[in-house]
Amino acid sequence: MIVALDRTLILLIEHKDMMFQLIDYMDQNQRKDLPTEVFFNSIRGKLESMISKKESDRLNDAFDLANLIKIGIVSEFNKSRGTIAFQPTVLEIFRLFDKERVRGLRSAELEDIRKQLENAYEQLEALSFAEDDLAFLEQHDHLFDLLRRVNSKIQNNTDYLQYEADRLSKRLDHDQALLSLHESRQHREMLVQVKRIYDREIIPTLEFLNTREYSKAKAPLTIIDDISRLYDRRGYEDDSYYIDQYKLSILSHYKAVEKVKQALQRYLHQERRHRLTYDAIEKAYLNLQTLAQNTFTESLKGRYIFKSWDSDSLYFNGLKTHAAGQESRIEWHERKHLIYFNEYLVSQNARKRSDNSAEIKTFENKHQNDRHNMIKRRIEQVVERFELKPPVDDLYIILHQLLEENLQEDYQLNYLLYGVSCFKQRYGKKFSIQLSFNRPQQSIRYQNQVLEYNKREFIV
Amino acid sequence: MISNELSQAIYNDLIKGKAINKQGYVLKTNELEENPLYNEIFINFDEYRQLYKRINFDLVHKNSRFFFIRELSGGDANEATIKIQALLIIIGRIVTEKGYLFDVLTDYRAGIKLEDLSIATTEERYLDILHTCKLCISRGIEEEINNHLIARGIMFKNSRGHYVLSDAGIAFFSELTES
Repeated sequence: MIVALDRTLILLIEHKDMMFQLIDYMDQNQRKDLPTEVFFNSIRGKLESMISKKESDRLNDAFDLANLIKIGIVSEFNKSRGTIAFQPTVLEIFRLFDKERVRGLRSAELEDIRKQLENAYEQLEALSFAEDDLAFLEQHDHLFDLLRRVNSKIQNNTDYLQYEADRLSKRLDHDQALLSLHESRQHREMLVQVKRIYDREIIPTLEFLNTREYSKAKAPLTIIDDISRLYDRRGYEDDSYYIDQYKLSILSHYKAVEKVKQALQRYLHQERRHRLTYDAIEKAYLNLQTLAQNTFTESLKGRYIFKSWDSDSLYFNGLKTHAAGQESRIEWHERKHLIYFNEYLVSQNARKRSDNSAEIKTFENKHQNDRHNMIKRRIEQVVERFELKPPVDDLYIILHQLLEENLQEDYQLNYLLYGVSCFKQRYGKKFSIQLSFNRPQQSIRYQNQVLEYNKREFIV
Repeated sequence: MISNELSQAIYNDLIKGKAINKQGYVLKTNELEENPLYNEIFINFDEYRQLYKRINFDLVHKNSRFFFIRELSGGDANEATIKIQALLIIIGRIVTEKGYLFDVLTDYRAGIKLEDLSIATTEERYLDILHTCKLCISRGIEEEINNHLIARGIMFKNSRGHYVLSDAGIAFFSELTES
């Protein structure tokens, strides 16, 4: 069953994702035709994704290879090679639907345009320009058709280059590119893509649009100028004017392409820098490998590279040999360092405290008048009689008040330490006394004397 | 005027065969900061140079990025240098061969993981080279990198635990590219 060209085209446009897949395949593999397997797989995938049977049948009929050949969408089917080729015009239509798939003009295509223009000029030059000359009229139509096509192609090419530059810039300027190795690899691939577009599409386009520099082959826009002058000389001023307008229209893309070139230039520098680094590393690696292979052979195992390496090629030549890494290391075991640090502080404070009490600098150092330890015995009795029940927040204050009350005028602040000591002897086994280290220390003032101490709590 | 405090710190580093880089990596902030030791030598370069010359060392300022001392009576001093150079080339080659951007090695926020470098000891082509340089014979690649590159200030480990080239390491590759 034959499905008409217009209906088939409409169906292809409706299911353009399938055509995009085929175009992508061709672009990725840089070919103009498709293996029939790829084509059939793509059709099969499409049909399987259809829900409605009626719609599936319609597509099956339209996308049948025999039908596509018959209506001219597929222009070539090579059974022995197993390839098919779509009509280029059809592919161009689909490329226009998505800017990403528009192809830039490459050197070969631009050269082809140049040759067509040169050919048109040569043919016109040989013609009489008579209004009844059929050959002239035919060539005249062909020229304007050619100019229209060239203008349109250059326009599409400029759009494509602008789109590509924009797309690549956005992705390359992504700041996080370096933070993951995968993205860094993509970044590098994109830089290579920039280089490819620059070399194969931007530079040839700029050369095509350049009217100032001359090479062996005449510049295309100069040829258009020549054609315009030819028309002018032969009395066709109006046509000459239109030809000039076409030239100006084509030339107007120069600035836009130049802008794209400038936008991509910094990535090009990046790409060049990377390439140079990569080449240098590769060269150094190959040199190192050769040196290693020369020294480490089957028969001479255990030989080392050192003598064969030229010292002038060593960047750190003569660097001091002894490195910190070869020294003994600090062992830093896995343990809770906070606990150890707290323990250290407690022991340091305890030492400080014992130092302080050994030298009570705030007391007068004169010998206390306590013959035969009379007062000490009284203190012992007072503490013995005293019934204290835990909890007590500060033992020093309680005992200070107790001794002050009982010893009255005989009491001195240094007796408090003895009192605490007696208290600890009496209650130490039954209850516990908790020491706490605070800064500043607690203090008791009595008769121009000061006792600084660490607080002791009396607890159960 | 030479600072006593800084000159002692500089001596401690240089005598251990360590490079003094223009910028130092601060783990706490994950930033690169100016190295006061580098600035001290840079400002008083002539005095320091004279000082080290008297104790038989040549104080070298390379690529305007780092300082190190070279023994004036060399001997077998180049064994360590060859090890450093071989390690750097192999690390560079691993990065480029995998198709990563070389900047991964030079950006202090990025760096390369030890797992990515372990290919050096699993693939024979790298291992043969390392063995002829007396590397990775009884130690792993991590230990060799720590001993020869990190301890000498040619690489450092960033807060992600990735290996990054310091100024000295970057200068090596810059010269490699320019030559």
